Amino acid sequence: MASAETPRVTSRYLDAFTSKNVRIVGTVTKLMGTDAHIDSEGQVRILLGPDSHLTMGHAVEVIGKVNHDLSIKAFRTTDFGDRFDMGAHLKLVEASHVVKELFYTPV
Amino acid sequence: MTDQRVAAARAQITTGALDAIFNENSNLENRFPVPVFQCVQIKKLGSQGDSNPERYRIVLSDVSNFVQSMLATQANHVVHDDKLKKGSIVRLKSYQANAVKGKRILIVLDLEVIEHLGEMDKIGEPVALMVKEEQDIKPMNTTISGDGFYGNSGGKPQQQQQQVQKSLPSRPTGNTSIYPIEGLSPYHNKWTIKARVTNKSDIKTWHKQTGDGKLFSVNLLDQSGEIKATGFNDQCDLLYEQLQEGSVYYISGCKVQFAKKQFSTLPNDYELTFERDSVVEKAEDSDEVPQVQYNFSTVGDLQTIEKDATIDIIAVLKEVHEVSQIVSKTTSRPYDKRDLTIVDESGYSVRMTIWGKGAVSFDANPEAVVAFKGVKVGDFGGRSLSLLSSGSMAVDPDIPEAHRLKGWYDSNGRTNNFASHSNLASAVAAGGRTDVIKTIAEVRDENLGLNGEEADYFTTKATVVYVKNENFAYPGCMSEGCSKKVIDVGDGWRCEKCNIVHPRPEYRYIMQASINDPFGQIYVSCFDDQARVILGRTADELMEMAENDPAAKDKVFEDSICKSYNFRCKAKMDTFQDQQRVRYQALSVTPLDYAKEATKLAALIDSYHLTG
Repeated sequence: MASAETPRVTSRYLDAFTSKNVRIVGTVTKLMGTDAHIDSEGQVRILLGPDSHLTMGHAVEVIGKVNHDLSIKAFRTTDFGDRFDMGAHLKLVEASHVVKELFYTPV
Repeated sequence: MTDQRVAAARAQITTGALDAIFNENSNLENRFPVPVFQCVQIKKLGSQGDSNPERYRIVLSDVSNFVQSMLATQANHVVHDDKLKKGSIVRLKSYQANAVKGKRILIVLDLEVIEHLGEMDKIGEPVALMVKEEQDIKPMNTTISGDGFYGNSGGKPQQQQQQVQKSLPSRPTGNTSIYPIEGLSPYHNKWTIKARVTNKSDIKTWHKQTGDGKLFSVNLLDQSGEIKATGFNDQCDLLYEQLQEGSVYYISGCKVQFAKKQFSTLPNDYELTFERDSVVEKAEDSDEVPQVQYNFSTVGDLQTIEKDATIDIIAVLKEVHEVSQIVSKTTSRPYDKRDLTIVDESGYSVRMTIWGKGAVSFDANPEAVVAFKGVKVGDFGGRSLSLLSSGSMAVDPDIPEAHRLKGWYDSNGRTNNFASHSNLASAVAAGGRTDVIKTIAEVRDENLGLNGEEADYFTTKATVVYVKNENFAYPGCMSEGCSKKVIDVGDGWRCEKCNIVHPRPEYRYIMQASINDPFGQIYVSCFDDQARVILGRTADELMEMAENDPAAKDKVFEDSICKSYNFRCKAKMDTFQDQQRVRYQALSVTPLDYAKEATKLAALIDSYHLTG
């Protein structure tokens, strides 16, 4: 039903993408079993799947669906390690929304 | 039923609070931290125009007394939301006690209606408050919430201050007499501050023709700011023992003067002088007064901070050197000093010098996180730091920045190589030139290298598309530093320049590669060092493969293409068989730091000034 597109977002874009699949990168700030918190220009709660292994302090990319409470149900997580340049990434996210047609089908 | 409700309400009401607020307000925050009253009357005042919100006058009773009160407009919502009604029981979270024309008035800034108690008739028979003295109480703000209610005094640029507080900042207090340090000025002298002594100097004496004297000074801190206070002669004797570093005191009755900036590094225009009538009392409850205010800069920032600036800094101790003594040329007195090397997440390291007793008794170990306050920036060897005598240091403080630094150091920092501020070479390429970045199209369009004898230098990010896999190396001289071609003389290889015959040559690359970027293509020639990066093998190895395993050699060339690097090149005119052409030579080939390149691209995108 949902398209295969996963726009790249940070916490401040979440309310524009509720019920959609997105891709978000953040630093892991809290691990609580099936939940985690990541910091992506603000705190985001992630509901983890069974095979997600996150490490505190590492950057992680989460592909998942945005719930109405702006938490994300993760389908897949990828560890981006501890040497991730968040600044460059944030610039990418920003640019991708400025020229959205290049990156996803605008709503 | 009604009696039960009334009894419940009466039990909550803080009887006696009004009398305390207006007549006996010592220790008010302990006795009545949150006054609870009954609102026996609400009246809307005639509106003063459409643009002004309406104002409500309410009468508050604590069963013994009642007092007229004005509801501040920011609290109007309790009436609009229909919460505050005549007979409601309310909690005052923030208020001011005033006297207007001899009458006592309460200004309510924030109140909460205890809705579950409901509304009821006036409880008891409260009477108008009797006043002890006819003295206008100057309105002073009675809440000290951590957000700097006084944050901006007269357009002074306020920096982001990080506070180390032991309890929650928004604590409602009912004390009418605590003034914030930021609010002190020479124009107002009936104040009391509640502040912590963050620093106490030694007693200093001086001898002049006019007489001798002694003084000591302290730095005082509260949530709003910091100020220096000095005690001379008699006050010095009286107060030196009383004022202890780290303790909190109520202080009043000092002279407020313009600060003598050469003796203090605190960011306050004023400073205090203790006088005969000054009062200093130890405060029992010191929770809401912060310990130390820091405003940290990073080691990387130091390049941009000017010499002689005073900063705070928090960093990981990389090295601790021995204590040494130097004698001052001016005063001929010996000073103890110790050098430390500190590093932080910016990737830079810098030398910090600490002095005196702190230097001698320094016992923190490398890898500890240390917060320094009051550090002077110097330019010795680039940039250097020195802890001022009015400064302080805290080892492994329990603040978020320290934990963050510790976490960074444990995961990354330990193994990092740090850029030092003491070599002024930062992004300068060898030979003292800064990188000129061009696309290949620009290289061609701007005719780089075409102007006569001079060479042009440029750097470009490009991808290797093709490498010539024949004649890619020559036999070179094995002597250190000599790369001349050697001739096969039968039982050895002879170098003309060194006049030596080597048993075998050391092959060196003379490689031609075609490199492309999105805008153009050029051929660059590479010598040994550069080609090694591109092919990943020494020329000797490749020559051997060419002899014994040509397929492997071909694979090396195949693997070298489609890889991107930063090429720093020289473009120069070359005459070859009567033809003049620009030849490009790669001086250095470096792999890409993707994060840096991404940031460069982001900057380029920004420069397009796209709008959303």
